[in-house]
Amino acid sequence: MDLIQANPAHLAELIELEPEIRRDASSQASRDAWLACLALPLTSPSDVAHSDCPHNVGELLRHPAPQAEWFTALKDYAKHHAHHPASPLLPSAVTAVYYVAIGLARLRCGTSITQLSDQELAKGIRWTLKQNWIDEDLREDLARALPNSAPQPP
Amino acid sequence: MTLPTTRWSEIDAADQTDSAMRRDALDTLLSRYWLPLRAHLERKFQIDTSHAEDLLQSFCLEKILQKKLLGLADPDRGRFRTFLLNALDHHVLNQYRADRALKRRPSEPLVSLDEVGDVSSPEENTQPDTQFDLDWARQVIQVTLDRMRTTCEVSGARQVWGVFEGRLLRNLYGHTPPLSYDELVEAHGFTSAEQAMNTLNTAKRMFNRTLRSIVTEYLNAPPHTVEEEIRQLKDVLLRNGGLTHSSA
Repeated sequence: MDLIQANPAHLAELIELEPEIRRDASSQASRDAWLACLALPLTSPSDVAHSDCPHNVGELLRHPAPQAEWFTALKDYAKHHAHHPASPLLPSAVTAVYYVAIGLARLRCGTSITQLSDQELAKGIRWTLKQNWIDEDLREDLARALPNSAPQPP
Repeated sequence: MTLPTTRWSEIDAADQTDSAMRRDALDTLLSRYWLPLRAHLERKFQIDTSHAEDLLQSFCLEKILQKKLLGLADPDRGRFRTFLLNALDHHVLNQYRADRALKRRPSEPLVSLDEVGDVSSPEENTQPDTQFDLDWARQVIQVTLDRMRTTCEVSGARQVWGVFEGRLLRNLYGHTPPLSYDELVEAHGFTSAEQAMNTLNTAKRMFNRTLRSIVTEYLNAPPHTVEEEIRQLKDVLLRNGGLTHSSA
């Protein structure tokens, strides 16, 4: 893209000054980032029936019969993004994705996909439960995945 | 099932390519902002592109690499861009005066030295050069967009760039309307217009985070100074809404 002929006034509109940035740091920004995470596309291997696999992260979280490795892939993805300064995803949103992936693997697959202690995991899940941009259905599932609740069979 | 692949090493490489190939970060800076500096020389001294590039190259070698001039830049003394521009003008005039002393007339600029006038020392002159500031602001946005696009591509967030480009960048030239949210839903497989809007908000934040990184790289200053520079860049662009690119 060559900006030489671009209208400077339009370029100026791209720039947000600090007060606007601060406003962006609100929970609305986290909610937007969370919803953007849910929209992330997923790719299925060619040997899996197309209709069986979720097409994005949101579908994965609502999948009736998810596989533990899906949650592992999601957890690893979130972990990388949470710690890399160049990630386009807000840390608050990917941190929530990280704990949701671990919690749902525990709840729906009866599998632990983390080496976190129960205490550490409970702390992370409780933090996620406090975020008002997590929808109610997911919040209920996540509460059931707290380590003081027994893991349930798939 | 896999998530978008993130190739962090490519992001890092994209950021570090220049510095790995050149001797220091200051030289990288001059390379990145070569076009506005060259346009300034062409305009001010009424010389052709080739001559301007020769002068800019000698400025880089003599002032930047050997004398570490930019280490003298003090954010409290005035704007970084003005400091840099004055240093460049000083260098060019000194070159011409040295040439004239040696009677090497052919290398003089078309404009006379008297016409150019005396140039203040880098610390003294804080008068803005509007066209240079506009060129500089435009180049900062260009570098920001280039880095944002690379980051989106290698981190598997192509949707973020696609929505930003379709909704905001198409309109930069004033004759192509932005894509509607319905068109974005279809193009990127969103389930709703709200999802496309949320992704656009994510993209805007990413652009502004990247912009602050880019400005921090050339200012090497605390956040409040970076914020002031960004405010000035935005003001320059708004004030010159009707102008196009510089012409020498």
